[in-house]
Amino acid sequence: MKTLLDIEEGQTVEIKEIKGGPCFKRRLAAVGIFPGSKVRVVKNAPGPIIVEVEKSRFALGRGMARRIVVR
Amino acid sequence: MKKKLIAALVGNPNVGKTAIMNMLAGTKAKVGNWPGVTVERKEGKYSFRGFEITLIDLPGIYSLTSYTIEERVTRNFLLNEQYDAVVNVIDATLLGRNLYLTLELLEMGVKPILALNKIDDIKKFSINFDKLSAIFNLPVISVSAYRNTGFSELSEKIIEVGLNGINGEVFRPTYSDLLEAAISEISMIINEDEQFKKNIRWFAIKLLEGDPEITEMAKQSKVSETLSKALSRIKTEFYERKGEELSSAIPKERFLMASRIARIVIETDYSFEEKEDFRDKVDRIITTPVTGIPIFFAIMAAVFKLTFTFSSPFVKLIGHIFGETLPTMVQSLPLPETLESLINNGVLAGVGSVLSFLPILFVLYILLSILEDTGYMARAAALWDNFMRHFGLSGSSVIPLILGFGCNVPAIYATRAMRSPVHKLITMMIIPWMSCSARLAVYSVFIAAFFQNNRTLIVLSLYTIGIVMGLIFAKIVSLFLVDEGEGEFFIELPSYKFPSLKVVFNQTIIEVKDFLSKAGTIILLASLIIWALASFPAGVRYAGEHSIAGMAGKWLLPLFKPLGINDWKPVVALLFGAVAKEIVVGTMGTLYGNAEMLPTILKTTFTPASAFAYIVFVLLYIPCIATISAIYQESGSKKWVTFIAVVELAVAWITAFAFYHGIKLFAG
Repeated sequence: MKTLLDIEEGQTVEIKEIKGGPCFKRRLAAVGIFPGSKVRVVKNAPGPIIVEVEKSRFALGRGMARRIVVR
Repeated sequence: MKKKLIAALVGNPNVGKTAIMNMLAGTKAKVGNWPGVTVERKEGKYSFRGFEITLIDLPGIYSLTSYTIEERVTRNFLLNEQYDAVVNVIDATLLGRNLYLTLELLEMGVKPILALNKIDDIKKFSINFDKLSAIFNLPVISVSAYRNTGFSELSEKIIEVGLNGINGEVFRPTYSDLLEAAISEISMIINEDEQFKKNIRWFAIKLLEGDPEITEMAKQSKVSETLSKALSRIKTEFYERKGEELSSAIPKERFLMASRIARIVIETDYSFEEKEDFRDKVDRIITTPVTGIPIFFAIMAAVFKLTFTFSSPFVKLIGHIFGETLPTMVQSLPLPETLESLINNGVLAGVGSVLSFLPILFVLYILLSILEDTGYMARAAALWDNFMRHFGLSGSSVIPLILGFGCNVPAIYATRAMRSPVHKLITMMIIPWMSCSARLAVYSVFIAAFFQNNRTLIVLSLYTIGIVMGLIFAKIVSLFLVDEGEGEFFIELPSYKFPSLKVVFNQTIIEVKDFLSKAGTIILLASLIIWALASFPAGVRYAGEHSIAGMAGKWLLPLFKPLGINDWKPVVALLFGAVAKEIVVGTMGTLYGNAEMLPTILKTTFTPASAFAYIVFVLLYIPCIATISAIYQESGSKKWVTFIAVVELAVAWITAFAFYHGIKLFAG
């Protein structure tokens, strides 16, 4: 099972599943992070991970990124 | 009399709502807090074509659920308050994502005016306004705070909508069959309860999404039992058929709907770019500790250097006017002694200390808004997040804390940018321990007297004591304060851009005025109280042995004996230092009767150990009145202010005690 944390910088991946409560999922879905959407990993080094979704950039905590399963 | 209209500004974070409000309402805007919460409330009035329009800048949000406090504030305002028009401010460069909120507004029954901002930033495509307007049947206009365009059109629309509303059928988001069936079923059930009647479809959708607030509301309903059975059955069935949860299926469909609409109205290429660009590299460098931390310190050093370089001539000028020129003029007037003292030691000293903050605040705010506008702040927060988490804080706490080294007052105001109320509160609690420049004035006198050979070491150790105590305290407090779902770091990194100077300048004026009107009055009041304590009973020497302050100093002396302090004069200086820490030195100068010889005089009263304990106490005990009033204003709670004052006094005493005896033990 690969999560966002396993993705190299610069790669684009499709989100497979988001593990967590409904609030967590809704919050991410509102900015375009949901199963089926594509995100590009901009930075994956110590500290929050940076992803790009539909032209917006977000920094998310690594604990959060670990719960985002990708394919 | 002017006809009055109220318009609410709603939109995602970073779309430029505040810039739009500042352009329209100018420097007449006001900043405060929403009742009961520490979320910022901005409001501004302006006149247009005979109307007085009040703009309310609602907190920036991505969605209208009740997940964050900002979302709850915005949602409750839209549901329960009186307003004439809603302006949905949209970042045109991120149209798809921004329309998500538009769809939610429509679901809730709000018919907004769509104000597209940042049209100038669009390079590769254009937006067909007529098509967008036709799809939603809503007015669409373009505004630019940067170029100052579109504002009269926006005002005209606000008046038009305010007077006549938006007529006709507006777009209503419809979902896939399965979801629509679920929405109808829930609608049928809640139709039985009066409280849901005004907006059945919206309540049904929120219940299916699992919105905590609405779910709680439904529990009190008379249909709660039928409802909860139906909800759990629908959720299970949906999961079985679709393999995903209903609660995230609705937002997902809404997001896809918004993207679809964006694709229809966007007239050229809108493909998803996958190539690496320059921005990626910059983002990586800035947010990776090895490279990012040196850059961060360089930027903060530049901010301080510029702040103090630009503001110090003005601070000196104000000090000169209120400390020398005006007092001398007052002295030359034939006034009774008490009145003269009231004017000089009370009013002028108070006004002077309020005004002396202004140049610093002004320059600092300008620099900070520039940093915020360029997009750096969000990245600095991302850089520090991991480290700050260990202490119950978040990345956003770093900038306010660093600012605290310059002056605690703007540092407290800088916490306004923080999203999590708990992190904000903890950050405010520890800012007073970031050793501000006023305290440096106190240290330097004691260093001159006792630690000439170890200047740097002593100053460095004081800064370190403040930081370490702050982080330990933050850690302890964070164990008792529950963070509402904001625990995980999640922040948008806005595009880099060149800030608009007019917007920056207006914003600064608003913040400075805010400080003057709120903190200013408290500082003045405190100065007058201190003056009275030092002057009464009538006939005593100002702040002398027999004044109330002097008696209080003597009375409190036993408390300070364990810290090695054996004279009441430094104790009185501490009392006065509560107004502003630099006053500690001035007061001792007055009491010992010779300001120039103070270091020599201090040698007779203090030992090196008690001197160090005293400056540690000055560092840690209650912050100055201006800081306290800023904390009160930002937290909106007397309880927290009292807590901070009491705890910090206690910590100051314990730490000073430990250092006094520690030093005596090791240094003999």
